[in-house]
Amino acid sequence: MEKATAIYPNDKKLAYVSIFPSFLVILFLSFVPLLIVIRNSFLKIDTGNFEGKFVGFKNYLFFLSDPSFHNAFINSMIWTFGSVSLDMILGLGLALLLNESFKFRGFARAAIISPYLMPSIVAITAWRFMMDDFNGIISHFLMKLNIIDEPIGWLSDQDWAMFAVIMISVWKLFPFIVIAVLGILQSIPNELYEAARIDGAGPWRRFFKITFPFILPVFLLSSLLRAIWTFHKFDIILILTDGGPLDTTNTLPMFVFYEAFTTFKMGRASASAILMLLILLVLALIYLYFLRRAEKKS
Amino acid sequence: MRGAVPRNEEIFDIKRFGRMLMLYSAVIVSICVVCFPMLYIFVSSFKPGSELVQVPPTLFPGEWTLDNYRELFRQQDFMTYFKNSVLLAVIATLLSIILGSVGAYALSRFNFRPIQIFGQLSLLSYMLPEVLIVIPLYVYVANFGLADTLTSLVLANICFTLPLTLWFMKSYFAAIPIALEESAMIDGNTRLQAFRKVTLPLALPGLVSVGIFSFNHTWNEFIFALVFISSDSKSVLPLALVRWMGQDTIHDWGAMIAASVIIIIPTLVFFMIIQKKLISGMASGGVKGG
Repeated sequence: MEKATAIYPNDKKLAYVSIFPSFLVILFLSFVPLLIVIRNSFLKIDTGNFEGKFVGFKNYLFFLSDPSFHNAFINSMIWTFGSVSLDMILGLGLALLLNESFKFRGFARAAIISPYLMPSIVAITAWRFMMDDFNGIISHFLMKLNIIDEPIGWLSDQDWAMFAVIMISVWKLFPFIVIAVLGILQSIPNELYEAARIDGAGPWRRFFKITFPFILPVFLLSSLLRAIWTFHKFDIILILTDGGPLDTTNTLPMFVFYEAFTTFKMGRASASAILMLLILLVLALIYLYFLRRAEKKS
Repeated sequence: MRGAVPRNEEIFDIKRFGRMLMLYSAVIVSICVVCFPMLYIFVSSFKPGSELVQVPPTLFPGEWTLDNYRELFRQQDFMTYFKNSVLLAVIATLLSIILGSVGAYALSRFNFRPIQIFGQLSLLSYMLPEVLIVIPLYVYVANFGLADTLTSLVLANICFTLPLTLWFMKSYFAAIPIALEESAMIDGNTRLQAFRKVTLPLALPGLVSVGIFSFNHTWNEFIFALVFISSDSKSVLPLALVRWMGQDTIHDWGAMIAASVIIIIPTLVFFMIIQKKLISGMASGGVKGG
């Protein structure tokens, strides 16, 4: 942002006129809706006209003792930490690999990052096809290798469903970590390695003394950001398992969506959405705290 | 050290050879595993319907055919979904670009408090979870009689793409020196003319990139569509796939796979255009909370 000058005065009218349309859209499509959710979370709404009766914190208290809400919370934790920890391992490993110099590196980078650009619905269709209960190619590949004897119902078996949706989520979103880490790897000054080599440091030592400390802040921040997104993403689960079988993949956003659009209890749905937002806020605050610290350091 | 003449002892350096072998095998294996789902549905889209449900499944088509695509385009409904998707994505993108770039210009050039506070708050709206915002928007849509209209989807999508445009273009405009506009104004242009003749052309690559992101977001979105749209004549491509997949009968894999390949096409074309910028942009955006 630059200072006003004589030719270029801080023209208030122009400023407000140009920001006004965006302001209106964001006001009515984000801020007012958020207020509506907060208001509705204190109401009991069972009818379609969204008129409700004030019940105070009853909706919130309900969830604190609701076993299916607890189940959704635990599932959300498994979903988020399962996805993100695999993302971190794969993302870091592949970023380091793609930072090496070899022929067709540009092509290899584009290929590894490509799942990130795939439309969700295409990813969902492809994996649903590959994980089919009867003729999915994954099961048949594993059968060929004699690892399993009969096809696994990846998405319909309660022991496998959570694992399966996590795998799909990881496949779709680990490139985000690759992109972030690759970006920072390229900014490490080469002189650091030269100096270390002259001092006789081997490849492992160079990695742990130079590379790793250098990329650590970005690696952790991008992983935390991924955790925030993963926590409230539910498109894969919604389409492929719908929270089942037997609620084993019923995460918090799925729970909220079900309350809102299957049972149409908008009051309760709003309260559960606000509880979810609060958990998200904790994650976001941790993120901001580390971001500030990382920015101060650099 | 490519291109350098090897010294005698380097002609067959077994350690180096082993290292390169490991590197290349790791790269090739990673690419094969990561790209398999995409390649698999692509080749499978050329399999005849009977081969798609055959046990055990085939890797490559036993017989190559275009029947799945032909069948898809023969369906009247599919053409409707296609038209709706294009219309929706174009309108939502244009709206967010026009409103967003003007707003972003204000955010980058004026530093009064209210405007800057709004800038910060708009970032917040970009972070709100979909499942939270879909509830009140559904209340809106039902109350204003917008249920089952493409208008409702335009609104739901710009609720995400507008803040994105604001933030992306704000940093883009900020990088264009004010001095350029000032000199245009000294030459007798008004401020608006200076914006149109100097700043806007310089910001064009940014507008193209953010336009592509917005188009892509809207083109792929299906959760709002699932909640707002009930009739087939208002459906969009991803929603059609969701509905086909939701049917408990045996899936029509031929149509579903061919449709997914078609959905990928605009995404693929667009990202090829901005590939270089995308990777560097996401690298910096990723750290800054983009």
